[in-house]
Amino acid sequence: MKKTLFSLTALFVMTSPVITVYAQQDVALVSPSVNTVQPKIMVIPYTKEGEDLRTILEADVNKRIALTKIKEAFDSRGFTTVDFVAKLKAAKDNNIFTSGTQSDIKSQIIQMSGADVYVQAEVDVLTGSSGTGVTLVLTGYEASTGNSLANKVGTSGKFYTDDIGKLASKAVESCANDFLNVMQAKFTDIVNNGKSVIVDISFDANSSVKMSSEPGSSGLPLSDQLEEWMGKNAFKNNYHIQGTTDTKMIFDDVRIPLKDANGNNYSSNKFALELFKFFKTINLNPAKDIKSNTIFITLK
Amino acid sequence: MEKYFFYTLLIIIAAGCSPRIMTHDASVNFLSAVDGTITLRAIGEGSNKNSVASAQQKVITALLFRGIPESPEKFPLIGTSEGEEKAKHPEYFNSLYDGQRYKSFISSTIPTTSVYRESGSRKTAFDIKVNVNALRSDLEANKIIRKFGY
Repeated sequence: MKKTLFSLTALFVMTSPVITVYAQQDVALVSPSVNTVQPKIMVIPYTKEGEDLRTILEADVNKRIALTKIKEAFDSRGFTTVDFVAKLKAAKDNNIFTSGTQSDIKSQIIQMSGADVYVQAEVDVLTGSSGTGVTLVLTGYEASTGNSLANKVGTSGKFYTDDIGKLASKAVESCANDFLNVMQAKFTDIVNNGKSVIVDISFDANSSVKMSSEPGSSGLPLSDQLEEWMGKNAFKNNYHIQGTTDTKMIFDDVRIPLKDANGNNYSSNKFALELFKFFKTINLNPAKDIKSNTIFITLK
Repeated sequence: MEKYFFYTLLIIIAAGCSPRIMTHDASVNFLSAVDGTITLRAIGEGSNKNSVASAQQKVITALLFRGIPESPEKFPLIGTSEGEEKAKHPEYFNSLYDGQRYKSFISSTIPTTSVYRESGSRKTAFDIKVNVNALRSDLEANKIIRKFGY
């Protein structure tokens, strides 16, 4: 009896780690897979006010080399960027083909707005008695909100050479990986906390409604009803109001999820539709325009 | 009777003791990085064969969970929560470390010192070149980390 008790205890102790290992494996098997719509990223040269992007790019081969190296870094991570010049050409070609169709200035802006994320590259050549060097300033930001995603300065080091293209390549290599890692950390934050959209609510010139009006049955001013709705519908209650006046209300950072409850991709368009439905429930007549991640609502 | 009781009690106490957590020093320093590869100097511990494996595992662990200061891989490839990640993907990490899959990401291992003794253990320094691009792709393919983007 005693011997059996001893053997059973020993057996229990020896088998318990095995049970633990299988328990961990079961947890790993149910981890969800990832499949999400990706942002469109465009690499562009830095331009001063009044300068034209295309002219700057066509005039300087070294800038083109730097931009190509940056795009190469994105490619090495399996990510395809949008080519600025090709996009511009495509937009012009599309314009020729659709010139007979109905078009307005808003449609043209949407056609020309190329990307969700811009990566801006500033290339500076420094020549002195100790040699020539290239400094590269890389800035990544969300096109609609202006939220900064990654910033890095790369340097080539100084060499006695006039091969600026090679120096530009070295400057890119010195910081590209780091830049992409920071950007990926921000993308992961977006996955966890939602992506930013701007919601701009204004009134038609002939509208009799104002932000202080009390539409619907709640008896609350429209601006307060809107904030209540935003609090309920923004992802993790995460939103920021830029300002409210009697004629305008701007939410400059509203977080929306990348996927809806069913696991389907969720876009700013779908969020705008929810907002549209809300206005209808309080007997208002909204019109919505969407440019990338910016939602414009005009109440009539 | 007392003898059996003593042994049973001993086994229960031994099983109840929390496992000893061994923390090894990282001893991994950046040397150079070229075109998707990174060369690091690491200190291996133990006999000849063991010291190579020890140094290589330290390099892989540092890249996955610590990041390498002064290098393009300042951020860890996975994250700093080592225990949590290993618990989430036990099959992958068992295969990587115990199954020695980590060796497939190592391009070269060159000893830079002869064996020396420090704090009572035998140590050797190695220059180890790792194919970081392949390691990252492998982590992405096995869904340990997200691909670039959302």
